[in-house]
Amino acid sequence: MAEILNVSAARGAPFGAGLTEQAMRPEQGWANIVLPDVWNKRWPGFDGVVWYRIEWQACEPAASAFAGKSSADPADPMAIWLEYTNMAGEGVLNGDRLWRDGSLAEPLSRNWNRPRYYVIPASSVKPGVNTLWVRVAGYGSFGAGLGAVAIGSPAMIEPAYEKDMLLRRSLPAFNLVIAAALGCIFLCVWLMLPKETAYGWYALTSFAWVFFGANTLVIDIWPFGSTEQWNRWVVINFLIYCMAFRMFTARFSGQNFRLLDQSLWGLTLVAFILLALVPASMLKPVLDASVLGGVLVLLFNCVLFQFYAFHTRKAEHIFLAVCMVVFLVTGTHDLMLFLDMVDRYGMTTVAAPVMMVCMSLLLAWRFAANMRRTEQFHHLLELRVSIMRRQLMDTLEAQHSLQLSNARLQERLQLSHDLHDGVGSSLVRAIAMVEQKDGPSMSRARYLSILKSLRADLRQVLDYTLAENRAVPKNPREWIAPLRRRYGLLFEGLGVQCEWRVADEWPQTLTPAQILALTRFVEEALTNVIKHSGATQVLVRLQVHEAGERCEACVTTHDAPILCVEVTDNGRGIDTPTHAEETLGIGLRSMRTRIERAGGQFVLHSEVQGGTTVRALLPVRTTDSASR
Amino acid sequence: MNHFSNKRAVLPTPVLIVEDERGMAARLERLLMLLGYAYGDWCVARSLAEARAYCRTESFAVALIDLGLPDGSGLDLISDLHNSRPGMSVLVISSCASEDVIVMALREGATGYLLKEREDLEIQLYIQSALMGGAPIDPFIAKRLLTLMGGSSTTAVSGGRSALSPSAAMAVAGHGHPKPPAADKGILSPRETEILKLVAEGLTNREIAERLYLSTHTAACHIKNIYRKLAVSSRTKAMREARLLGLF
Repeated sequence: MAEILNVSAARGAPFGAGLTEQAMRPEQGWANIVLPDVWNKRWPGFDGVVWYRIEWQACEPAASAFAGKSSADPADPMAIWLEYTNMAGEGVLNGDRLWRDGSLAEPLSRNWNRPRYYVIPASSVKPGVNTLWVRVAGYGSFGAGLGAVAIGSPAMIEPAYEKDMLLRRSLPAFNLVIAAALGCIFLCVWLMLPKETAYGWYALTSFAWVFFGANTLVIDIWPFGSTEQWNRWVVINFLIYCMAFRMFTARFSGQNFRLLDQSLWGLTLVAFILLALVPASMLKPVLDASVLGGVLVLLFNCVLFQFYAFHTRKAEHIFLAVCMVVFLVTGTHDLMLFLDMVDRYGMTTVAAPVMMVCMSLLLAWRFAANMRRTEQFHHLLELRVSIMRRQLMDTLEAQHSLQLSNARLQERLQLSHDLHDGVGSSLVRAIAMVEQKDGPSMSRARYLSILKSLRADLRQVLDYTLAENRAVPKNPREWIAPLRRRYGLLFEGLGVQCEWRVADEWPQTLTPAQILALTRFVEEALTNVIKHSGATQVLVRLQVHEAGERCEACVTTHDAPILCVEVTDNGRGIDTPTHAEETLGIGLRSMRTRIERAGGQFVLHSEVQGGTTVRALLPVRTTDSASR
Repeated sequence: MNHFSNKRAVLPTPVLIVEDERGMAARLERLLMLLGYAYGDWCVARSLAEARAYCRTESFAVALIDLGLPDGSGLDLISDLHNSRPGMSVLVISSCASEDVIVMALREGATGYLLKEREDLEIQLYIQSALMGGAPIDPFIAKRLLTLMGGSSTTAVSGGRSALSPSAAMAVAGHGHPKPPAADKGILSPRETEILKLVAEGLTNREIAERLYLSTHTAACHIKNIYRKLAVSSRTKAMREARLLGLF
């Protein structure tokens, strides 16, 4: 629809000249050029305004293959597409201004990556040659110039423009938004888990990428005042990006190349300083070197990681290595683009979203693995705890059964002890008595009395062993009650008058051995009274005598406090006092032994037809030497 | 030595002897004769089944029961007899003297408890005392009764343990209560509590009567009442507690 006849360019005023000068179109110096144009090749180092003149004319379209209606109509609008103007510019068509960028002086608007599309109404199109003037202000060393221009029908031009927009602006914007979002997410994750530095480095990588990548989209360079400041800023961010990515790789995979990383950081710091401080005249080489260095770091990182992943062969690492190969390819391509070795769109902008998703996948994978490990650990811990608990229970059970068997053993020992003391000794004595008897054999009554005494001893042991409450009776009255009941009944039945005079309280706490000894003593004494004495009166007495107290009944003065238990009757007495002991039942003789073993004293008085008194005297507050 | 009068006319008959051991049964028969019974006033059963057979045909006034029988414990028989003939005197004659068993026998309704191994004279006097209406209570029983039935407690009785029956276990376990439940308060009249305290000291019925200026008969009646109250209240209490605990 339109044919571009000629494109020429001429230098205008350099930066530093006045505004009016800059607005003037130059008269001379027009040279024919080919678009896209980078004027540094022609006019190296020129920083200022360059005018481009594009002469074109509308033309008839080629004969349509379709018969019938022609698509060409002089009334149809035309469209102009400009690829970019590096940096800022103004366009005038046939005297009508098409556009004018925001700032044609510092701070320059950045339009180097901004396609334009204008629809020209038919009335603006002159027949014959039309002239499109484009004024471009830029820095020669930074690739200033005019990009491709196409003029034709909207149907032809618009798709190209849209494709351009997509690749130059939409996709990068999308890219940056994703990067920013991911950066935020991983920053938050890292803030929660500061130990996982990989996440932190990745967040930094993302943010650095955003700031660096903004270069492709930013038009107004606020807050910076000049392009060269902006350039410094962008390159610094790029270096941060490269180093952050390196650190992320290292931390993520657990690489520990301290020296390498430290030297890299050293270089980076140097670069930062240079970038910040070097004067504008020497900026370009520094910028180029920094960018090159950064890219080399990136590429080196990727290559290094391939070897590392091959070495460790972990699934995570291999996945990352594959991602990095993609990165390598796109990175190399873009490096070549940067170095003007190829002329295409940058691949990184397209590949970057995919990369980002892969990286996120990777990090999420690691996160999940950590969680799983925690759960597993938790599970293991539970297992451990239950094992320990079972062990503890077993130990406790073993201990418990040990204690039980111990207690049972104690009881058995106690019982055997009681039997030995209670019955055993009496039995031994009885046997000795029967054996020693020279002369006529013992009477049946004698044998009977021995056996019955032994039975009474056994009865006491059994009662004591099986008793629920083996505590010592609280007071003498309680102690004497069973004896009193039994023998009281007997005496009543026999018509014997019986008196019980028992103190109210014990003088001291008596041991069970002493109590049992006293009980048997009274029992045997009363049995004797019933069997042998023929008495009509009996007195059972328990009394405590203080030291130095004169005891009427005992007819003595006791030196120390003493507990006195006594059974007195008015019966026929023992006829042969010298043989009193012999005539006494085996029972009372055993009692003597037991009383003496309990730390006491056994006393016997008897007169023929004058009654008998048997007495047990226990010293008070004695540390019992007996076994119980 | 027989210092008691021959009151054959007033002796309660007939007598049931439940004893499987031949020698002991013969001994009891001899003692009964000494007391004034004549041959024919008693029946001897060698087992629970035999005893129950006798009980179906005759109404006994006195029973002397051994606990260790070939076909079961005499305790079951005691409760049956007590339930069917409340006025009957049931004496337990046993070789076991453990407190648990004594308490249980008394719970089931026995009037008295004596050991086989005692002398003839002692058993004779014991039976005679029981026949004369006395209910000889062991002093340790009296102690427990005092703690159980709302009197002052002379001693802290340890919690009982008995393997034989839940009701008995409950009853014995009831000893562990430091304070008897309100329902038990007032079961014993003050007079009865006084008497029970004297019994706990081992006084004979006559001594108690002398001390309190009562007749022996009155004292014996009081003691019998105490027994009855013990049997009834402790049984109902035991049943109630056992039911509460889901044992029935």
